[in-house]
Amino acid sequence: MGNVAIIVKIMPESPEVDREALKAAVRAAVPVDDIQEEPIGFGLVALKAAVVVPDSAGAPDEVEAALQKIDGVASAEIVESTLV
Amino acid sequence: MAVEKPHMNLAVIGHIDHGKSTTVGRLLFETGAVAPHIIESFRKEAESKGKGSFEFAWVMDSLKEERERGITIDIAHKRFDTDKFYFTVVDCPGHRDFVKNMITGASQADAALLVVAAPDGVMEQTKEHVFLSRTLGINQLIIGINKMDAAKYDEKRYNEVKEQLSQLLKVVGYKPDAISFIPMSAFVGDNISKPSENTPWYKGPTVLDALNALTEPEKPTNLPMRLPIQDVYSISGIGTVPVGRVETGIMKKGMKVSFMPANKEGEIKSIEMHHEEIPQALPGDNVGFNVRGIGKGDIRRGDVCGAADVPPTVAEEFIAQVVVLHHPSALTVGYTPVFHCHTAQIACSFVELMKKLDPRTGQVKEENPTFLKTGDAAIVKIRPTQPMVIEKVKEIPQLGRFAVRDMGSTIAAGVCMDITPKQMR
Repeated sequence: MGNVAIIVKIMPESPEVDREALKAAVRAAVPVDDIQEEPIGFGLVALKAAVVVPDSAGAPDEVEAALQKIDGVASAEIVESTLV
Repeated sequence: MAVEKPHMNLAVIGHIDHGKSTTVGRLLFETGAVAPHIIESFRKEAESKGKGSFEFAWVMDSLKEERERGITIDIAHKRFDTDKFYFTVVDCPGHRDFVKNMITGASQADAALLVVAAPDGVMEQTKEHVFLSRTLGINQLIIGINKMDAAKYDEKRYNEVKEQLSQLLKVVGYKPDAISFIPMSAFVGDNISKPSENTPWYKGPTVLDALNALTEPEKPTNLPMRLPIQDVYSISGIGTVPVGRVETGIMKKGMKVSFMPANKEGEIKSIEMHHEEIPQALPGDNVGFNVRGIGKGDIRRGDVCGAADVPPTVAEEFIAQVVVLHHPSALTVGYTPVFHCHTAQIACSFVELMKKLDPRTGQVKEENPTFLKTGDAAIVKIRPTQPMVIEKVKEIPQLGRFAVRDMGSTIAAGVCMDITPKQMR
């Protein structure tokens, strides 16, 4: 069984959400390897986080659920996954 | 700077331990995509030990060590170039719980390389991945019959596995005659970039030849505009701003749009991407757009924005072809799991099991079966418990696919064949 790198796109609840605080909360919630900003528009900036999880049952759901619980997160959705 | 080559997303699929990762490593190496510092440190090590010969295993180990130091978002996108294309590779996870993300995720594969180990032949995940490729709308397939070195480069074994695979491919509607079956060894390097002396009986293309022979996918700009909504914002001084990725068609400033199943109409006032205003957005673009005539509470995640003259289809019922990936017992009429389709998550009932298909021949094996179990493919009738947008996979493939989930696990995947539309006006 290998490991999977997943990229999660995290949308803030509003353009006013403090991005640095949000990044810290994301890092505290899941084992993040990398995190980058993706500007959308109208002041909204998505965060993209790379997380490595085992290629096994429930792994992607757990990451999405942990991120969705964070204050200031509107949605967290896996956009890509590849074995590493 | 030279003109950028056309881009292709390549999914590498197949059963666990059939050599997918080694194949990806080999492709990166043969196309010169392994980082120069890795090659350089290898060269030094080889020199210090007084041997110049290439050890592919060493490169694989180095790549693994590098990954273990941490994944960056860019490294997750493995890239290599052939003469004709540049590829980004997705090495598909084996577990079915990743299927939902492959169906609703961002980068749809344009082609798939199916890796099957010659000694084992067709295994469970081989079947699952072939069904899924078809469901995901991957029409271009290349087959690597791998580990030929472990099968003594035996032509007879190659033909046996090719025949097994051909049967399987016919079931889901691929044409085996139009597909390359390449005997290869990712580990040794046979038939990857040049014809191998170990398989003198094989006259077909190498893996790189087959990759170069793929057809560049067209962007679905001619289809009706569809943008499934990810989130909706109310931005002070601007108004309602839905956010999402354009799946098909072109979204233009000034365009009249319809949101379904909310059944609301509005007009696009402006579109922004990367914090810049753009006059139009194309398939694949992640955008925010300001829309006149719509309040934040009128629409929500899972709704679909479409052209007002060709509004998104809301299904009263739909007919689907599904493959049951995993069900603990038997799936019967009345079962109501959650369907994940674009950004929507809606509980839907199986109201009729119409036909069970024979996985060997693709023919109807049983009319009106009483139940379906793991591994079955079937035609079924589905009724959403709440209004839901779905499109026929033949008309708008991007919105015609779904994953079926229940109690936190992936049960099935499927495509929508026909729709009884709900009258919205």
